[in-house]
Amino acid sequence: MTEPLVPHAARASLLRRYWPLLALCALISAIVAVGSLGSEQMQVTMTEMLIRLIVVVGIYLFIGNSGILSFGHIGFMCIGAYAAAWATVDPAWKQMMLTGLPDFLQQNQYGFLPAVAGGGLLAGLVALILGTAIMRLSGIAGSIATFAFLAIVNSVYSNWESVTAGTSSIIGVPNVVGPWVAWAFAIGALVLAFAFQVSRWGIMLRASRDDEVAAKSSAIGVVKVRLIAFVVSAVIAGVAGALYGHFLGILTADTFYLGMTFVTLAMLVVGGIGSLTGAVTGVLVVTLVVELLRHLEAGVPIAGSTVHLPQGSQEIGLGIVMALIMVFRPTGLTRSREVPWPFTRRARRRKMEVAPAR
Amino acid sequence: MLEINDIHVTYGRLRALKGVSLSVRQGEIVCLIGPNGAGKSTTLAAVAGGVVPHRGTIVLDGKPLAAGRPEQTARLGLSLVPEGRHVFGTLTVAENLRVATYMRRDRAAVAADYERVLNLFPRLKERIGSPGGRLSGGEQQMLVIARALLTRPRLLLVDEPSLGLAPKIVDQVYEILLAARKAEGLTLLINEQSSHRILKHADRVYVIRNGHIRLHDDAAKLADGEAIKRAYFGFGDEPAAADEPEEEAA
Repeated sequence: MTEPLVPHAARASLLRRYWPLLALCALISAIVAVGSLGSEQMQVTMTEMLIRLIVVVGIYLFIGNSGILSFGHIGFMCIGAYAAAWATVDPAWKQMMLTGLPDFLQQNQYGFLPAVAGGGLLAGLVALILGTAIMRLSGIAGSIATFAFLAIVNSVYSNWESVTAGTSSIIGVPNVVGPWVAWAFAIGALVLAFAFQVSRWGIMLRASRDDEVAAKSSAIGVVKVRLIAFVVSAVIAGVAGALYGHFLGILTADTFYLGMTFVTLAMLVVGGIGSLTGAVTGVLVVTLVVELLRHLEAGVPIAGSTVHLPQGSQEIGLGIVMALIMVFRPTGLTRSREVPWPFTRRARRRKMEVAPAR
Repeated sequence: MLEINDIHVTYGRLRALKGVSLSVRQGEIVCLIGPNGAGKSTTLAAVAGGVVPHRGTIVLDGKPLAAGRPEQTARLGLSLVPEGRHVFGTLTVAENLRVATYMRRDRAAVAADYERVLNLFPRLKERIGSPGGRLSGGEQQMLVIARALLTRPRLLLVDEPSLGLAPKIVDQVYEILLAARKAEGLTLLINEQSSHRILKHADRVYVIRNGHIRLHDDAAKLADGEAIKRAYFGFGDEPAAADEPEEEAA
């Protein structure tokens, strides 16, 4: 996908070029390896975190590279989750409850991996149709259109009784996603997002984010590259949804609505919207803060008595932490940069970045 | 090579161009000068496909250009260097240049072009790994021109290359444009606000004011600057006819 760089820039070796990806994969793997030794509760928390990581990486792939805020990706997650559940739930239950499903889904039961693939594909297909319509919109108009899409998905999936079981949830989704399954998909998402951002499509998209007019006069088909990123990121979100369904074991449309949209976008913004490192950092930091507050809410023993924070301090605390981060680091914890190459001497790095301008 | 026939452009109620015609022949340097708000940038944007004229035609090499499709126009060998140094701020200089070649089909020629263009801009070579946004104003203007050259244009449209630059840097920019023209066999259509520098280099000059072409002649015949001054400021021409009705629309 990428061609060799020019001689002057070629000093950046292959290892150095892929360094941010390697560092992030190593970090995630280390966390999972340590966490898998922990308690049952820890495993569950970690699995959920990894699934969120996949969603946030998917959202980043579009928002970070295109500069267009999307509120609609949790809608793709919803689509992926339901599609996968349609495939894996016991046919007897489906025939009773989901009478509107097409025969090939209703009569059969498929394996986990084909189901996940199907979830990703359906999300991608919907993104292709939606994206064709809205990718020429820039700025807030595009964002509102994606928000409208989220609302539509929620209302369809909450009310289409014969296919989604409406407000009574889909139950009996096989509970097969644990930390290592989620880890494998998370690594896959990281690789895909990184490969995209260093590919020519990624560079063209970031060019259009920086300056749309100049991108068009450089012969870049802005709408096309946006659409590619939109579809790929929707596929990732759809896969994450499929995993989430097979992690929870039960599906309700409201799982994939404003709450999830807010948390995932907050993670991305806190970490730094413009870099893959930012997406990962945001997920880790927000999860850590939430878990810490949850612990304190449940109570910690201090000097013989149990002290605990009042109910609701989890949400308030998270809000305060995020506000503080935004005040002191408006471009996110990572300042939207990738993990720096550790072997450049500081002085040289400084010189490269701020060589005196004439 | 390029024929603009009687194009009209409006922005809402504001009539920016009221019938502009001009032509550029192969190999020429044509300069379009005029004061702020005269319609210079609009004219170039219309040619590049960024704005859609509601009347008139733009013909490149005998074929009408599709209006409003800037990326396709660019692929026909017509490249706009937009006003105000539109670099891709977060991309490195190398990426800024590379990105302009991604839609080209002649992949084999790209590497050679890349080297050649960089040799025209030694300063960019030094800063190849810096983000475009960290460059100085002059360097950014160079980068934008270099990037435009890499789309392999036959006709380069340059919108106010001197805007906001120190005179010394402007001279460098023009040197580069002329060198690039010589090296690449380019045809140039340049917008400027001031005339004295461009008269040295241009073959022909158009003066635009208030959406109309007011003067058109060979640069050599305009060398004393008097005719340009009259057209530019509107001294002594149809005093009321052209200037009043549209001002309040703004």
